[in-house]
Amino acid sequence: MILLLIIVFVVCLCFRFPIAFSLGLSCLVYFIFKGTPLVVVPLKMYAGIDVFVLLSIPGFIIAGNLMNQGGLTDKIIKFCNHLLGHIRGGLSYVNISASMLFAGISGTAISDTASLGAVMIPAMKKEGYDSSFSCAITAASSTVGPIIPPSLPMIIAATLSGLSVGKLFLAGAIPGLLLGLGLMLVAYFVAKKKNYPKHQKSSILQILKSFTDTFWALLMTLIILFGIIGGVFTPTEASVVAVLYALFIGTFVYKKLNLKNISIVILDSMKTTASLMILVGFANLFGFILITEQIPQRISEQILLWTNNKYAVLLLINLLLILVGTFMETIAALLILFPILLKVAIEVDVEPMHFTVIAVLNLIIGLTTPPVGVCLFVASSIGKTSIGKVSRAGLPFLAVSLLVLVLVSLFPELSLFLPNLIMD
Amino acid sequence: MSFKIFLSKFLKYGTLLTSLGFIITVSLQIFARFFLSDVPPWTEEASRILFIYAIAFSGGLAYRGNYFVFLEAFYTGFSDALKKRIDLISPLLSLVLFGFCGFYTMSMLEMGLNEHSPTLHIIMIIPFFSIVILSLSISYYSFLALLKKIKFWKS
Repeated sequence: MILLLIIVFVVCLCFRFPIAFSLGLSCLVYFIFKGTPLVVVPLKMYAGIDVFVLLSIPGFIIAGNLMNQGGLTDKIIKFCNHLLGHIRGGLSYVNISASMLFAGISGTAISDTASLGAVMIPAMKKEGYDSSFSCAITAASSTVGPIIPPSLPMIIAATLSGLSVGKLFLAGAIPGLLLGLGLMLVAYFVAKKKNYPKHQKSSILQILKSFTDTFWALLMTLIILFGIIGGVFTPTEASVVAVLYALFIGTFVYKKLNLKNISIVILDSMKTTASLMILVGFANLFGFILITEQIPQRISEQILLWTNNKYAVLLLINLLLILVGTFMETIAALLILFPILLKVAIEVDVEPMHFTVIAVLNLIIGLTTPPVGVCLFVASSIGKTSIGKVSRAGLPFLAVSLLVLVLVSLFPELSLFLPNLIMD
Repeated sequence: MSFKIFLSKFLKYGTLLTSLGFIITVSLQIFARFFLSDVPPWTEEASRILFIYAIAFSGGLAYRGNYFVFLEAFYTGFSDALKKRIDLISPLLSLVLFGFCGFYTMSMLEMGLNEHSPTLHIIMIIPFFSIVILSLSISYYSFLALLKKIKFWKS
């Protein structure tokens, strides 16, 4: 019966049926053949989204979009440009550092690629950077977003595992920084080799001026992070504080928000949230079937029969997640695979928080893995460059991302140091 | 006003009101924590219900606006003739899925008749009804999408 579930799910996916609906339809077919009362479908779907911490997702999305409406992307890029633009290949560093700063606000890789790419790729091309390099670096740098807090995949993982959202946010901080620095290192060598341009050095005054423009947006990330870590707010409350803060800053400081565009932003953000929450609801149903069929236990037993070496198991999981992340959107893949693989990881003594960082890192690296990484497609369509060229230009960035993944997998301290230091 | 426009406005304003509702409720929770002696126990439950309603109202709009993610990898490799067939099947399957979901939510509503929420003490039909709105709106928009695809198929 479980085979039927998987077959229907895979066929639906191949037929370009939305991932959320593919999960729902495969479960429906399973229940019909199993003779289970179909009322379980709406019941489990409802239960899946009736979780208080999930309210933080629309909160963060609305806050990020409100800030962006206030011209935040341009302000962040301007600040990074004043700070790093004078180094050879400066716009490459601007691209990566802007992604790292923007990450704290948008929380998803694909929206980072689209928002920053729309500004950065044309700007880089105009200054003489190769189009394929501009697209590749934009796609690669956007993967830093979902690791650096606040991160939507981390909130979903916390819901699935029962771990603290605050601790998971902290656990992603060092791997996120490592990834960003690694990408900058690759950009440095490429820029030197291709003799990419550099800007004039900005004066302290110019840097300070652009910093004050960006300051309010950066403060939002700090409020969210320290509010949650300091135990002042729950993640949901922190997200609503972020919304109120973004409304205030957008209306009175940036002076770009009015009733009309606030309602457009809320509506747009809620549509994005709905698409995610329906996915969460059906994934809860899918997870219910997997658990009643004891699939996580069975997979865990099979893997452990083959090997119980922690590193061999981690290698297998890494390969599987990268492969899946290449084809599937991060949150969907997380919802389907994370509960199963977490069980396997715990069996070989991998700390759940450490494993969560590994899983999220794998899935976001998948977004830039050729031939079908979603971020590569988004960037190549913005840059009007063939996916093949972008993929080739992205290989050094992919290599350094994989290196960071290996380091994070081998050294749990990289993930656990901050949460243990600050929150224990 | 046609039903299509009415539904669109109903879902749009429903989304806005319920979204503002949960933002205000959570804000009240924060305010009460810092400035009142006690946090009202119903705020968490109320915000969850409003949130689910916001999802229910915006779900149909999200479907209409193609907000749902899907796997492109295999589809792009298919022939045009096969793509045309698949494009016809997709809204049909959505209609079937949410048609079933909506139909069986009626049994869920019956279950909700005898249950009350723990802090607001409201009858559970009220929160469960959100799934009816979600299912019906997605069914309606998938039906429209299906009609459009059939017209395209015939042409």
